[in-house]
Amino acid sequence: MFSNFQLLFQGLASAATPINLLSCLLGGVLGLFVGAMPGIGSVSGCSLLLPITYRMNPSAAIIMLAGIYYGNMYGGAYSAILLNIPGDSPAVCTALEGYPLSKRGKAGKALFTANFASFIGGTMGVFFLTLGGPLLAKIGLKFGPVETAALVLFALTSIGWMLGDSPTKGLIATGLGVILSTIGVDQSSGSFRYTFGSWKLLAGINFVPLVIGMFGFSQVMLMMRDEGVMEKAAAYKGRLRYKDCFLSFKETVRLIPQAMRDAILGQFIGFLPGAGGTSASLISYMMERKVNRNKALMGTDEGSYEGVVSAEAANNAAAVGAFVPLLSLGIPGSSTTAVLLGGLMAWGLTPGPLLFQDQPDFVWSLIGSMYIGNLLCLLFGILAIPFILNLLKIPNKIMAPIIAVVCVVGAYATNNNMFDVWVMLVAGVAGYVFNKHKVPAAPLVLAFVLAPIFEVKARQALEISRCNFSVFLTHPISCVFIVLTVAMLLTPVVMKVLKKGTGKGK
Amino acid sequence: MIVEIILGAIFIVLSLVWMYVGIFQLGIWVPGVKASAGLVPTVFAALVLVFSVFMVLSAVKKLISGEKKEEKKAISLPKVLESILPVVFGIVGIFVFEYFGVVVFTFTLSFLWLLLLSRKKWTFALLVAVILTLFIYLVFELWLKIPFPGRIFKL
Amino acid sequence: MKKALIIMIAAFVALSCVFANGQTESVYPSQGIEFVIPASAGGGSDRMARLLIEIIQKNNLCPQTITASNKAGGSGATGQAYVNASPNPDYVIFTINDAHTLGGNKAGTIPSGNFTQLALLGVDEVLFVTKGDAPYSTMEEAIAAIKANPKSLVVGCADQLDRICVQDINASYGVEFTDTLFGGAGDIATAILGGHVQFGMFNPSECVALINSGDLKALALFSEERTSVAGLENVPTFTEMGHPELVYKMTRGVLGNANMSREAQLFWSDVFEKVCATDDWQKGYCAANGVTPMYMNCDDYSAFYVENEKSLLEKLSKLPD
Repeated sequence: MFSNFQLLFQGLASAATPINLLSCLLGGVLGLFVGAMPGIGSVSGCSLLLPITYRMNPSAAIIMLAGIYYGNMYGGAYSAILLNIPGDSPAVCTALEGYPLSKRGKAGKALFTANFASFIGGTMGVFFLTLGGPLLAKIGLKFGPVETAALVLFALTSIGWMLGDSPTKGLIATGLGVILSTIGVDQSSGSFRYTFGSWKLLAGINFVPLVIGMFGFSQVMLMMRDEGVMEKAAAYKGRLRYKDCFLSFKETVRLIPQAMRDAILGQFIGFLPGAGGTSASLISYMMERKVNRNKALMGTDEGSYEGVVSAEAANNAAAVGAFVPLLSLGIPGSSTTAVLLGGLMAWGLTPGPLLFQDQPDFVWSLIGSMYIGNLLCLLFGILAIPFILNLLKIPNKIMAPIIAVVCVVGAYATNNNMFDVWVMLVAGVAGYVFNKHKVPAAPLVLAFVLAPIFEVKARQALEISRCNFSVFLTHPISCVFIVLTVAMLLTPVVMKVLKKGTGKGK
Repeated sequence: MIVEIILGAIFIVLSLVWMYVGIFQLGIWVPGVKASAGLVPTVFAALVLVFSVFMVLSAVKKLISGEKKEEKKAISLPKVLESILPVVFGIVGIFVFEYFGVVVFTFTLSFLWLLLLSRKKWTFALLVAVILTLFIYLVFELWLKIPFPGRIFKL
Repeated sequence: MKKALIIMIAAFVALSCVFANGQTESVYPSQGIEFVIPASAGGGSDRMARLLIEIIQKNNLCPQTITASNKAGGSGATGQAYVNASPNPDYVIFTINDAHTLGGNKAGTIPSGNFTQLALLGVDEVLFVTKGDAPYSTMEEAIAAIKANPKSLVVGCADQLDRICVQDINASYGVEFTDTLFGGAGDIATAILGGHVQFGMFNPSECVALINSGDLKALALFSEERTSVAGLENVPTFTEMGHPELVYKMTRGVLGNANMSREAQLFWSDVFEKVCATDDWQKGYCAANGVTPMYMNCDDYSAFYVENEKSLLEKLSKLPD
């Protein structure tokens, strides 16, 4: 283990050469910028920026690529907090807790919190990678279909926290999310479901256009009726005070322990192949809602810094975590890392178990650059806050068409597909109607992302065990998650019963 | 309330279709081998069905009982238009996007939207439209090289 | 003021209509070509297609620009449907491999044989692989194990093609391996390494790194002769082991829209012949990825494709769904 730190120092040294530093900076800033744009998720962001790196030498290119990757994670929080448009599924929680903060006039502080949490998450993630990437990868391998299905099921129960005032509508939204996700190829059997003979539905409904529409375009419609950030925040008019752009030292320090534990959680879930950033941010959010000192603040209409921290720290740690199987086994942990894998192989590098042995300089300079990169993203993210807050001064009715344009372009850019643009529009109208009638959009979107993962893994588990349901309990890891899930579901009920009991006792 | 009933009805129809296809075309179960493709969709469609019915019933109840108490909010035409126009612009805009490309789309949509919907001066609208078009062109077309449909500036 | 505005807008729109019509010349190709990749960015098909474009442009084999465009989804079906629906049949081409042929047919919206064949580029071997420290070091031992306990051992598959191979093994040896579908070679590798499934089907490029590190070992090759791919020279073939019917090579080629003109077809057939002769292709892609380069021109490939597809579909129909 200690030799790893030696190697790390060498890596840091080589990462600090001018070319590498520049690539790191460029990658991080580009990633931030692209990730912040409403509508470009991290997958599209990475694949769009990948070609830029083709002209460079391999180690500078991969450093830049990594920068693009986690830069996207930093940037995703911006559109989530400012516009309520999450750039990718882990940012949904950030939007849920951060956007209300914006509405209250605390956008600057929320952005600072998000950046800070992302920094802690990312840095801790790289730290674990340093300690023993290959070792962590072996732990990740223990999670087969059975364990992953149980984990994702647990993450799904977190949706219960977001049902809002009317559980009926919340559950309908959840069900709708699952139903929409079943359109397209069924991964477990290769057959096509619910395509109704239309070839455009073969690929199913894409997540990014759905989110852009449901959160973004519906926002546009709301903005035209003058509802949204501007309506409530007189704080954005007039001169900006520096205080508005940062959290105070005390507030920041108070959030550190939480950020650290969320990062550890995120890291561990992040290197599980298949689970990814969404489950990480959701489980972290759930955990904080149970254990945080200020848990009463979370989940309210006011938003909370704690919520933003839980989502962002876990998200960034998970993003780094996805590098673990990528570098140690050559297996991408998420679709974004799959894009990175393509990039790596284009330079003739074969990620796999031998990478750490055969090309240690390369690996360690990459890891070294990730520390530097996280720092640079933090700096840039924070420096950008005052400028961005100025953007918030733009009246709704002017922002609306701009966002509408970006929504259309962003929806198209995902897959170069006109159908996605129409999905975006329909989702936008639906989102607006839902908003007016208190059908919550977050459960729909989260169920849409998680249900397919759960379904695929659960069905694989059943196929392997030939329909033997007991495997979920006989595999120890899975058993733990099932117990946790049941506990989560039953707690509210049990609490009610207990309360009644003590009430009567009096 | 009425909208809720309509929404609920749509959800009910949707869930029934899903359950039908799930049960009869995809199959639920092959005992001893695997769970079929229709299992998850059917189960969750049933969930949507049950709760949608519930939602419709409670909306109907509220409508019947509360009708006398609630003041009829006058649904003025301008308000309705205000909500629908952005969608109309969106639809027309997407067609423009598909046949004339991203540059024409960006310019015309932002310009007309600012002029007609947001009621800004045409000089202002023109300025913003040009800046936005330039931005989109530079970032998405030149830099990221996304193959937009119907491009007129073929590069 | 307003009048000037309206005139300006009208002029703009009119101008764009004029430009949108494009030129009409008669030498092929007279426009840019769209190279559709029916897979997402970063994957194997994507890298191969982009390399092909690079080779074509480096060697000036095509006077017009070729733009790559990813149309992922539906195991290749989305990309195929897109090509089929294109209003410009001479200017859109795409890559195909056997898994996608099956995917497109399973989608049911694309009748088989509905494309113009341009060229065959290469073939990929298929390997039967297990965990590095598994108790079976030869195929025979694996067969003995499954015979002792039918259905207890699972083979991870990435697509319908792999499942067909597993069914063929079952038929040929008279055993019952269970097969289960995973999202891709990466998922299968993870599942094997974690001990959740025992075997897996792979192309050389997907497993050679792990085989060289000892994490995986290949038990058999679906081929008549041993392969020369580095690291896999010692893998016995099914033919050697007495099962010559277990031969399978995944073909990779390029196709065009069904209504593509003969002129266009011959053009591409020629271009790809030159591409396949280059070092960049032979050494840069094929050798590095364990693909055996094999070129067939459009006519030979047409005949081959039809036969290949027929036999694949026949086997597909026998698969339990």
